[in-house]
Amino acid sequence: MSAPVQVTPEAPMLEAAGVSIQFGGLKALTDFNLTIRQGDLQGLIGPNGAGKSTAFNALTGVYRPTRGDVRVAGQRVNGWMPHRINHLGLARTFQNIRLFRALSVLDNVKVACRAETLSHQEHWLPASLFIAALRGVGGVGGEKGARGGQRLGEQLIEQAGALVLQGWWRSLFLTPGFQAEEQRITERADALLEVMGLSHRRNEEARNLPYGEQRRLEIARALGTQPKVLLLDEPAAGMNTREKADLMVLIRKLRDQFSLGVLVIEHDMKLVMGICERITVLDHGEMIARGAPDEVRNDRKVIEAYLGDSYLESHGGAA
Amino acid sequence: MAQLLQHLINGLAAGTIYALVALGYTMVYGVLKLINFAHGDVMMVGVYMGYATAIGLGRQAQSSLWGVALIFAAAMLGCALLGFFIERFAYRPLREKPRLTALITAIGISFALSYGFQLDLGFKLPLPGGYELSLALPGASPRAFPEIIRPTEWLIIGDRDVVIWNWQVISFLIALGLMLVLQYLVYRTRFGRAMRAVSWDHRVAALMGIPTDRVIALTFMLSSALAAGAGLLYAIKDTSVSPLMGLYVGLKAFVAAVIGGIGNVPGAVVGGLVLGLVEEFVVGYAASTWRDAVAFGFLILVLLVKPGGLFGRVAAEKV
Repeated sequence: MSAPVQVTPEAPMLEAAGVSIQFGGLKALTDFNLTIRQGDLQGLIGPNGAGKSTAFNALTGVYRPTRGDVRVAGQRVNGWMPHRINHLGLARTFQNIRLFRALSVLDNVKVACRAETLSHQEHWLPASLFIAALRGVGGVGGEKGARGGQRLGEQLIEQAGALVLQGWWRSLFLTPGFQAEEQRITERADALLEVMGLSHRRNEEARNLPYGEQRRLEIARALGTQPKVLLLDEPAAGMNTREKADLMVLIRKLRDQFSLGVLVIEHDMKLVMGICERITVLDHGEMIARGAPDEVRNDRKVIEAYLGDSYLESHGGAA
Repeated sequence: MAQLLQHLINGLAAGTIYALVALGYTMVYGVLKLINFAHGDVMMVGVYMGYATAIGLGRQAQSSLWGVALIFAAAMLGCALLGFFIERFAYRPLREKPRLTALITAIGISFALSYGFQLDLGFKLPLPGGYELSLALPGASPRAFPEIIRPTEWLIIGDRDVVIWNWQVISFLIALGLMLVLQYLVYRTRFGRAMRAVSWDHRVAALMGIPTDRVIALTFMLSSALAAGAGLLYAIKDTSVSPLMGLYVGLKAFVAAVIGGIGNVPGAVVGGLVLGLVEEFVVGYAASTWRDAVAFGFLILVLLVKPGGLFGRVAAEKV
């Protein structure tokens, strides 16, 4: 019943190479490797505290890797601001739903929708001259001053650019360009709500939605950023059996419709085994197994560390 | 009855100014959870910028329509720039530090501005053609603010029972205009959406592709520009300008913001108006020496009855 495994020849959209995260003496994640290409649907499982969410945080730029590299769309993004990593095409949802609860459902998605913007820093001569001038002024105080001057110049230009070119300024004057842009964003957000079956909730405050719909709204919001890779952190948590079944269908549909690579953290074994083509198992921050669902299910280490300890006990050997 | 009407008008005129300054407190608190105690002093700097522009324009030009527009524009733009630098170099480096650190820094900036402006510093730069550019800090003593709006009685009811001055109407309209622009900006534009998202959860906002640093910087610029506008209106009303005016007006506006529920945009407006009216009625019906005591007493009363302010919600601290 599962979708055929697609071997895509394209370059990986998301790549983690030897990523380790350490908090003081605590090793939260050790030598984590992962590759996700367009069309992939992979799972990330492991007992509580195994480092799954830490891995998500390392990939999305919340934590900076202590060692190792994260690459998004071929770019090394270690230490980048999360919003820039997101702009490269990486979006996520959260284990404990983190919507903008006071905003309307529509606004939650619109917040994530970016307008097509001009690249205002490059190719604009006065800007380059201004930055060069500040670099020169700072250069009086040595190399460090020069770098500081350049950074300040870039930031000022960025602010000015944001005001003038990105429509935050234009919006004050209600120019046709601004209205058209706002219109496009609204249409895109509405389309996403439609896909996620949330159109009827459009104008409600996000906090008033039932749990399952909040989870779907989080996915809609993530899709608003036009990702190439979508990271879902326990998307089925708190859902009933019926909702979970729908969710499985939906995740596959999203992958195909939006040409995504998807990585799912999930505790529900039936869901993970049902939709993921490849599963990575973490325990105590280290990868202990990886492979197709059947391989992982029968892996000795996995049964010992994960199924043996908690799953088999609580589920009476359902696996 | 006529007396009541007169007090009502005076109170509203004063209240709109408090409201404008309070909006700055509330916006910055909204995005950063920082009480920007330097806000009043940024306002004071703005007033001096307007003062310098007015002096530079000369007696004739400063009270013409374009002269007044230029004074407001210079003060608001200059203050926006000041706000940008304060955020960039004083608050941003402390973003991830405990909140108290930034609060103390804000108090530090407040004193640096209000007392720094009293220093007797200045220099003269000879320019070709016999001109001279003189730049100097204003010094400690208050100065008369030029009459950029010549006081005229616009409406007299009865035997001078009720007098409405032109500056009251103009200042009310300018304040109202600025508030409407802000309301539109916050609730109808992409920047406002981003601001509300950052205000709700800046970490999630960043992961959804919002450049949080830029949103915060623009919020500071916006609030500082509003403060400059409000400061000029206050200086017109008060006909004087001094380096310490920021401490006093800032504190009052802070009270207004808290009364309305800090972090809440309509709350700041209502808080400002309420405070203006309360003060005016105390001065009118009791004694002017009681004004501040009643203003702060009213704050305590509001907080006793509604701890979150009139419009605020009391949120249990997340743990």
